[in-house]
Amino acid sequence: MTDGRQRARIAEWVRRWNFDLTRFVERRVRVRADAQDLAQEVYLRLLRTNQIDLIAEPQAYLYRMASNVAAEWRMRARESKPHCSDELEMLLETRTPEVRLDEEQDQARLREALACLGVMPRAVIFLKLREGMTNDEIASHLGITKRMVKRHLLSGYAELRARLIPE
Amino acid sequence: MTQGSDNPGTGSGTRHPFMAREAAGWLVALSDSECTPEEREEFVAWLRRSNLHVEEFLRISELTKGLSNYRLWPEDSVADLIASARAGDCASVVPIGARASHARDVSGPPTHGRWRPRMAVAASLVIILLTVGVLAGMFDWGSKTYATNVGEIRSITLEDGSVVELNTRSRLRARFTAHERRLQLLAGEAIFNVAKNPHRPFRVSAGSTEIVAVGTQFNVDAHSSSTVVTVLEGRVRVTNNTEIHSPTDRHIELARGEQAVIAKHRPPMRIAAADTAKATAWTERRLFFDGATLADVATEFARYNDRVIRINGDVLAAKRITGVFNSTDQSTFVEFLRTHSGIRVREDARGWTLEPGAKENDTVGAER
Repeated sequence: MTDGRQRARIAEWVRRWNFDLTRFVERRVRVRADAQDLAQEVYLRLLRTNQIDLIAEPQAYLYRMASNVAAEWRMRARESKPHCSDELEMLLETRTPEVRLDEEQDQARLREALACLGVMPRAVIFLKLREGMTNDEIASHLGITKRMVKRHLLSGYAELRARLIPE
Repeated sequence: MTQGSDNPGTGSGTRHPFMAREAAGWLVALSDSECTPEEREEFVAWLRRSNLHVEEFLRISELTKGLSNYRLWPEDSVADLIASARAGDCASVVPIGARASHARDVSGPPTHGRWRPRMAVAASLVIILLTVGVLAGMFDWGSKTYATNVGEIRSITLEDGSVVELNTRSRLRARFTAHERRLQLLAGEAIFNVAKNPHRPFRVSAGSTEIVAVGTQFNVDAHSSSTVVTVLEGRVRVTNNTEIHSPTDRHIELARGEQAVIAKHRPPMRIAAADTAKATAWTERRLFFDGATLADVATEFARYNDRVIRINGDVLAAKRITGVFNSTDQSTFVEFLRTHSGIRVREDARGWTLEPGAKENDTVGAER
């Protein structure tokens, strides 16, 4: 039975990994680093880590590692090409017009992909990601079992991933 | 760097759509409040099996982040969406997508029978939620303590929205009232990214040092005998609360890029134009050394690692080191020392012992 303290601990943990994830996503160097190379580097570091058994929060650890790799690449990109640093800075800056346009395109693609999902997965994903509800809360809100919540989430994520990220 | 290619799952041709599903399954399992330590261990094992797993997991994480920032959920249709989801009306809106996801639900890995007593489940959930709510109220003492282990770095979001990055071997206590936000750095080092609120000052104490901020960002290093405060953004006021000779100098104001060193029984000493990048390098697990002695370098590494570097000989201990190293990767640093002809390295379970070798140079430099 989960008590108040544990609940608070979980909530704090969720906030923390979300922070790490945000940093990872923000630091992704879209232009220069492609997802495959990034994953390869993170993977190698993961294999080299000998304190792996001590990792209590593997997810947050992974995001932090990915965020650090992205940050290092950014730093290296700056150092190795000093003559065009302005241009790089512009590419890396998150608020450039190009990025904003990308964002708009991303949003349009997300909308399209979401429209293809069933009502239930869409509602579950909305309550989970936008409203930040726990699985229990979603279950009671929609009148379904927790197991169904997890299944809808899984199929929804997988479906969106298949539609949004080309091979 | 060829470890990856030895792995059976790493060839680029072996990608399978099932991996995306596995990654999604892990994301769901880990974000559930009932995720067990065994599941987390299994997840780490799954990640280490293939770089494609890492890639899929990062991709799906990025995607969910994009969705949580998604601005285009139209408000009215969301209400409709939830109403129709609640009514179990799965056939409406877009039949193709609904059917596809339905088929997948049935073929999903954890197959089991349909749940009949929905009402009973819903009722027990309500009871559980009520119980949890009551317990949460009872157990709120108003003070929380956060701690990190050797080599661990934690990001903590406090209840006011301020974010604290806690460095290795550190302990922090937070107590919030309606009028102030009081934090006590009991040991170690932390960066405070303070959410702006002029009506509720943010006070950090470390030993006899007290720092007051309103909305700013600063690093406090209290791991050694003196405390070092570095301001990254905004302004803070630093006070030394112990008895000192000239009471007028008890506190100073620091601006962005300034640093103060506070030793016991001394007024805070200001250092202008400090290198803030160096003060915050630990968040990237980096250690910067600019002509530091080998003894200091070993001490600094010991903050982040269980295995220690021991040095035999005063001349060797005083050797100057310049370079950038990963704080939790001591072995790379030792490898780097090994290439230096003046140093002999012996390794055992507890760490490394350094001894003077044949020839010695005065300084050692590296860029890593």
